[in-house]
Amino acid sequence: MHDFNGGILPSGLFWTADVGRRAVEFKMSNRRAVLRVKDLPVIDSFQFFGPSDTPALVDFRVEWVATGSPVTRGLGNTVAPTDPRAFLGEIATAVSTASISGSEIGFEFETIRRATTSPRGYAQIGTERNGVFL
Amino acid sequence: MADPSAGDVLGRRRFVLTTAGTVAGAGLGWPSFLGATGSSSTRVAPVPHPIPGGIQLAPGVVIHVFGPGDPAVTLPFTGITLGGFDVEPSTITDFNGSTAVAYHVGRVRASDGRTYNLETDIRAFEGEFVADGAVRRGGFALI
Repeated sequence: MHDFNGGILPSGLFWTADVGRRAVEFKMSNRRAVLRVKDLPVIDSFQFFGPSDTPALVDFRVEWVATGSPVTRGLGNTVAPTDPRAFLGEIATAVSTASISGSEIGFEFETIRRATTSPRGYAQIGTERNGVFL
Repeated sequence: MADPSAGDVLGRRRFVLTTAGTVAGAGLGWPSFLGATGSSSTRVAPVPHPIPGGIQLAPGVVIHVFGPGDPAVTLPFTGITLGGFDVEPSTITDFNGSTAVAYHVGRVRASDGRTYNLETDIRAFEGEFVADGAVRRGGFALI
């Protein structure tokens, strides 16, 4: 098993990389999106929170296309900030495909055809606000 | 499609950061992310703050992320059931923008000659966020 995962900042920010605005493109009123990343430094920890890490680089291109109508989601500031519903959004179900490749010392991989969220995964796309923007 | 019996699982836990050689299992420096898209800058980017909530792995141990999605979906290789539609997609708080979430299923071909099953959690965020007391704009990925 290989587990290419993100680090956690001391602040607790979880697996979230600053990829730059040019890497993330939402269009058609948030009905479509593309995420393109090349040579993103990551780690292969071989298992979830595994004790050893190997540096790796990954490339991927991910596309989303909305399949449903946007639905209002979340409860905003009517719930505690730690509640999973502490946001407000307009979110549509979607389908997504991904081409992914990666390498580390002694190991490389690439997707066979494009990975997809249909029929066994899930995807969504939309807008949201949380925190001080509620 | 992927056959769970066909190979090892290439873990759902997605890629993310570290400058090569500076891996620290539970605390990677924000500047490590920079340049991942080809930027030659060595700037230190304003760092967004994590959402206050998250999944409790053990008493007192919370990871600041939720698993939004159709609760009828159980991912095939990790066996994780998604948390519902009314669940925060972002890992960034004080955020106002666009989000996209995807749990892909597929297969990869590897240099060791094996075929691996693949499961992902990839998310994209683009919009305003607050850092260092100012509203900024950026693009982020959970990977």
